[in-house]
Amino acid sequence: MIVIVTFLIVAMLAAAVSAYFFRDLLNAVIASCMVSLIAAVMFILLHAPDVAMAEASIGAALVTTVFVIAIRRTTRYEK
Amino acid sequence: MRKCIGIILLIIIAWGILTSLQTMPFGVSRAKVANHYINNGKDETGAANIVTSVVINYRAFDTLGEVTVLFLSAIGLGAVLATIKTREKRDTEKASLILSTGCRFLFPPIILFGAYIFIHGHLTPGGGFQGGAIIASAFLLMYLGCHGEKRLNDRCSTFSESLGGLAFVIIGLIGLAVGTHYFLNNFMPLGKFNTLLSAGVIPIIYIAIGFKVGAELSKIIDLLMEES
Amino acid sequence: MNEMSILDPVLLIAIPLGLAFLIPLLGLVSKKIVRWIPVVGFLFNGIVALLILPHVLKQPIIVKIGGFVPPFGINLYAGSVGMLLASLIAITGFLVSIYAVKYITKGAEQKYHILFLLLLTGATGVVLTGDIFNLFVFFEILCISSYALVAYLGTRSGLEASIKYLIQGSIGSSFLLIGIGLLYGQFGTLNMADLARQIVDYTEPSVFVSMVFMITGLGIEAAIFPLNAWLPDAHSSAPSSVSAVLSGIAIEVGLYAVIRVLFTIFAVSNFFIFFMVLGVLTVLIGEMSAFAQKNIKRMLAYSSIGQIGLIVFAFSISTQLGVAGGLFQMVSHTLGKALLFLCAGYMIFRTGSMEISSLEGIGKKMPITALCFTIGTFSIVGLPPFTGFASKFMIIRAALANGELLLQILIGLVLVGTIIEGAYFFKIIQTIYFKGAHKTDNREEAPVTALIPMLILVSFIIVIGMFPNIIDKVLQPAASELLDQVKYIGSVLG
Repeated sequence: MIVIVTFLIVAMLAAAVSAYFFRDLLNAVIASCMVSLIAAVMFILLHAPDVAMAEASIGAALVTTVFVIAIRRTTRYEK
Repeated sequence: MRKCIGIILLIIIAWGILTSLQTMPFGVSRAKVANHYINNGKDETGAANIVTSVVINYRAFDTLGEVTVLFLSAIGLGAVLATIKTREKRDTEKASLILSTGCRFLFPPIILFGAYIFIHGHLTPGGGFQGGAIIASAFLLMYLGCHGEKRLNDRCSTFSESLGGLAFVIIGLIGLAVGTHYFLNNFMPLGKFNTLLSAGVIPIIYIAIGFKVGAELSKIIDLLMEES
Repeated sequence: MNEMSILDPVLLIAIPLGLAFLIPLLGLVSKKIVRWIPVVGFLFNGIVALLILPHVLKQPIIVKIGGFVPPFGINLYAGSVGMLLASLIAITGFLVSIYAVKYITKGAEQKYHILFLLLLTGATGVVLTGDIFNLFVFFEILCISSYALVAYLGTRSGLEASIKYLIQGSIGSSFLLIGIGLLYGQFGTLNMADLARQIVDYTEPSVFVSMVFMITGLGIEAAIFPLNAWLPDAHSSAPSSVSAVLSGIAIEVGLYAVIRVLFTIFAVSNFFIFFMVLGVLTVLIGEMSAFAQKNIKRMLAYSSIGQIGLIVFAFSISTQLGVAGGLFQMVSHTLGKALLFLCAGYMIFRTGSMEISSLEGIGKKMPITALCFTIGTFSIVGLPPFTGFASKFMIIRAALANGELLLQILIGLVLVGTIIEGAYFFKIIQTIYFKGAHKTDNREEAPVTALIPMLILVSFIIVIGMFPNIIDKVLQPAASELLDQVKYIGSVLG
């Protein structure tokens, strides 16, 4: 169990840091989507299924879409 | 220089949060309020899902506020986007038959699942917000898979979001008028524990929230998709 | 059911919320009804608030939402401060919404009315609530509707200001949320009275950190000096009816929240010198920047910063008289600044420009509006017999009461700020009345729906200014309520 949790936390941090460094904003959005997804898994492990459900559907799906739409209207690469 | 200041500020903030966090033991229930919810929630509200009993009964006023925040963000987005002139149409490639049929096939089950989540909010994990978000994701799938073919019915979404919000407020006001005369009190009989028709007003409020959240999030997607 | 349960303070929040949800439905029926809905809502709120106000002066009303005993459920604390500000919000909202009936003609009108109604509902919620998470929720309602309203006109500057405001405001909200989360983690409760009872020593690092987070977060909305970069843009590019409530109510509600958190939850006792200096800095910076402006709305926005500084200064004297003076200054600033923005709205509309130089000769063209504007500036500057004089005089008396040298120096600096304020306002009045006399255009007065609210505000300013005793009956209990933490805890938790 502790191994899984550690792995998830490391992956979450890695995703968060890479979201900051990606020049391609689409990649950054996918990375931040990954942060939300792992957070949802963590919530389930912490016995909070209600929050996990909201996090998965809003944080991972809807927010990502909004970001993708915004990127489509502006530019894809950070200057 | 600016980066340095930013990093120093972040370190100070992180240090501050850490000093505070150190005083909280992890996973130990010390909170008086939380213990009260766990021990008495079932008897006082009749909901099998304690999270729901907190969200819709003990802290229902916050939920009313949150519902309003969501309503506001949809309205605000609409107000801002209404002022911007629509751009030229971009060429979009039509989705393949497999993709669009698949989306159409998945749409009803996802809606059904969302409805299940919010109708059973007082029994199983989830509730109005989660169910509404799932319903909105069904609409998102339709927008992605069958782009430009079908759109959200404007009148219908307005009806469900307004009626959802109104139902919440009116249930609160009925609570003020009857029973113990408190705003948002649970004036209906609690029923048999752990059955669908139990927990008084909780399922009704959650159904209203489900409709409202579903309609609002779909509307936000609709507004943004229409723009892009 | 006795008399008080009909006049439940929760109605002040529930009815406008219900009306806001009703607007989209009514919009399907008729477009014309919609613009009167905020008027109806605030008329109702004003009547209810003024009826409740006399009842709470001695004993606050604790509303238990859902019937749960305070630390377990949410409670509203309708004390003298809360009801004073709630009545002020309702009255100002009522007048500004009458003004907006004819003023708002462009854009998504129906959405404007929803946003406006909810903006002030959020403000009412903030001043009435007795629970910090509930405070956060209502704060979000207040902030999100103001972000959208700032961008309402859809001009480039409006959108830019709105995004600036959005970013800074969201940082503020997240700081507030972090602070609340840390407090909940440590004390396991969100009720203000319960927190106040459990926090023994606010200088303990873990508690102090949460206090700093909360004050920083709220300070952004209250526009206290280093956190006010968003204000001039946001207040100057919004439609004037919105600027009136943003300047008159939104920032004051933010300031109320700061004061409530400092006085009631943390019972801060020795940081007031810091806030005093911040307040004086805010006054000086606000007034000096206002002096340099060429744009009338930006000038008014900067003047709001100066006024907020004065209110911060008054509260941080932290004596009965000082706090009462701060509250009085809040009232007079709300009335005066709302009046100024409302007048400026139609002056800009008629001249088609926001430059002060283009207002030449407007005193002949729109005599009533110009007169109202002049009275508003006199009140803000603090000339007798208007409210601004009474409130500033109270603050000066409070500052000089102790005979401390530091306070005397600081009040001296505040007076310098007031002189600068007087200088730029008289410059505008000179432009309005005495320049460009050769222009004798036809009279083009603002419409009646705009003149009525202006004249009512003017009458408030004069009546309260001449007879400050009317409001003093509310100010004194309000000030003691803010200063007396023990009574607050006792009345909520019993």
